[in-house]
Amino acid sequence: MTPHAPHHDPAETAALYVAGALTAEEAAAFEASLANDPASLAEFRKLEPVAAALFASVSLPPPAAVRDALESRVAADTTVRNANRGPAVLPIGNPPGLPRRRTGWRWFGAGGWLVAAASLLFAVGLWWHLRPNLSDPEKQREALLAMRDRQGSDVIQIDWARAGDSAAKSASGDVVWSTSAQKGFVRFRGLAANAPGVYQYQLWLFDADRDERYPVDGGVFDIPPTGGDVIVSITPKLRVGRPTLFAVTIEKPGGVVVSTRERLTLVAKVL
Amino acid sequence: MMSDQDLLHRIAAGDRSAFTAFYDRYAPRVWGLVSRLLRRREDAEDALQTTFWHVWRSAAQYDATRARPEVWLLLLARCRALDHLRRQKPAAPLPEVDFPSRYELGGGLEQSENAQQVREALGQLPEEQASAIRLAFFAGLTHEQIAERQATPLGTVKTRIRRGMQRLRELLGAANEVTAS
Repeated sequence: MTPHAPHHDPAETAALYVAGALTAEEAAAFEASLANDPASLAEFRKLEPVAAALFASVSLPPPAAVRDALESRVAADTTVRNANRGPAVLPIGNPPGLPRRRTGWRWFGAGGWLVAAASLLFAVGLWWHLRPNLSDPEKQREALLAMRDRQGSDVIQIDWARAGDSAAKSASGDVVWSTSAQKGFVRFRGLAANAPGVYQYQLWLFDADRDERYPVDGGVFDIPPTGGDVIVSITPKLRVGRPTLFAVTIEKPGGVVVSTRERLTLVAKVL
Repeated sequence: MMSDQDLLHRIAAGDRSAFTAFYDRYAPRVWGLVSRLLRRREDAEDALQTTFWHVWRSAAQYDATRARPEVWLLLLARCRALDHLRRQKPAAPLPEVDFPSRYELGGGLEQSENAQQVREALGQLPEEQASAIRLAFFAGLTHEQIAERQATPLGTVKTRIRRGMQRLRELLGAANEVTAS
């Protein structure tokens, strides 16, 4: 049983998918099931030759202008890519050859243990302030912000900058984050409401100790159409040692493992 | 000729000539699909460009265990076109569908053996199965919209599509075996 339908028949769903008869939500769920449901994958692959034949049957000469435009766009992207000395491609899963993450031990020079002890004390204090009975994200955010001026605090607050996507044309807000606690909150105002079944927002945390092509997934979230401030707890899937940038992209429902960053809405750079 | 997978590997490494080769190989199919689903030419051009731009930026996401490259590409293109189609006029009445007749199908490539096979295979299906598949594949209608259009229970539409697709698989498989022999 896969999560996309309560009475799921893999053969029927695969046929509807290949024919193009599923809704966007159903199609996305079926595509997701291909990763972990062998029955769905087997049924899909049975019909793959039909899909290929149907697709090939509607072949038409494409307009030359699109080829020219793409060539120019790719050439420009290659230039930028070379300038940044990093590929634009974003492998999914566990990409081979990634540089190993530096361990924390490397950073423990003279006085490092004192810094660590101070951070630990701060983290304990932070946990007390953010203990579970403060369930309201707004109160938790305020508590975290209140810790910002304390000795040993690593709490940072950064305003969002718009990244060009139309969904964020009127957006503002900020990021509040503590590395020692691995906890934080993002606040949004004016970010376009999303239809969760069509697309969702996804937060990313860039870490100086990781390859910038593979930022840490900070969780997916929705913006309701009610207006006002929306505060979302940051839930990084991996530890973030030295955050350099927070970013919000628009992705398919449920989010992605690695974003193509085609729809980048907001960024907050750690200075 | 370089395989599709090799081309995608090279595109993932930033090889522009591989990208151009991949585009030239499959742009006609993508264009044929998106221009049929999206009535406005500029929308179809946008879908064609964004589909291949996605290939350039995300070729490394291709997973050979899921689908062969051209199917991965065409499903991607269709997804984008359908998103656009269904987002444009969510409240509009269902479109009048001028899905290709058995004589029109594949008209862009009259000599295409593949188009001929598909045309013949669809022609051998019971009309209600062929009609449901045409409405989904060539007009972008969901199973619910097809049920509404045909005034048929949803379950019946799903069954027709499933049986039709399975029959197409048999017919096209047999046709390919004949061709191969």
